[in-house]
Amino acid sequence: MKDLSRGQDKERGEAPAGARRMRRRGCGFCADENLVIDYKDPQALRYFITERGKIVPRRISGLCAKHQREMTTAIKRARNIALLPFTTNE
Amino acid sequence: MSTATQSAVHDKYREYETIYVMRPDASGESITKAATRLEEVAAREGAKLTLVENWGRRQLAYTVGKFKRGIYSYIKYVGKGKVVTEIERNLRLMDDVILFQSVQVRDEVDFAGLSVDPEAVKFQAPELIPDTEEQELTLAQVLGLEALPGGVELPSARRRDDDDFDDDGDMSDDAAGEEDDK
Repeated sequence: MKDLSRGQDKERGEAPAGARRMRRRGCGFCADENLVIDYKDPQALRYFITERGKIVPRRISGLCAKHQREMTTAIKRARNIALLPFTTNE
Repeated sequence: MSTATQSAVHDKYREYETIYVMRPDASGESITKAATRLEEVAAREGAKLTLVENWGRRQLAYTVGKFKRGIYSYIKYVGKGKVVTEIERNLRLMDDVILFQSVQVRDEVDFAGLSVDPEAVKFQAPELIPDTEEQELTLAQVLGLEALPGGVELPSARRRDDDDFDDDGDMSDDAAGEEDDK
């Protein structure tokens, strides 16, 4: 008699022990087209900078390449006009 | 770039916006004067103002010169590239302006068919209360020995724990600590 359960186990593909699996969320700006990246709104941009004022990388922010690029430009523009800090290391 | 191409670039109408920041102690008269001057410059260069806003006195994210606050103004206009140069040159000449930045908003704007709301381009001088915020902190307040007015916490007192993903090769603090442990 054939053992069917073995084949099923293989397909399941368990993660190696100790590995942390995080579900990747899609880009928020791609999901909702009404959301725009505006350098004049520092409160909205604050979510994408660290407490120190650094730009949060893509792998943390979860943005797509296009929106991360726009976000970076917006943060840099906001910094130039003193709406966001370059650094908070005082 | 040839001269013909250059003139073609400058002949296009585009929409631009400029934000300028004035000293926090600037008088209402000087703020209105600056706005009127920019309006005149735009008119002289054949541009149309489409939006004029005054955001009032705001906290700056970093000190500019010796100022911690500034009076923000915002203008949006449609014109050829030269108007931006001219507006920025005028802003540079104004003593009360401490920061400014211009950004292109839209390319290829139909200048003839542009309709402007007269209310939107009317400059409204802000009702500024005298600036009382610019008080210097005492040494005891900076060191945290004395409570700050209004119970504010100094940024330097915060924990520096946002460097979990610091991958820019700056290992100065962490590397030094690890070597000591060995």
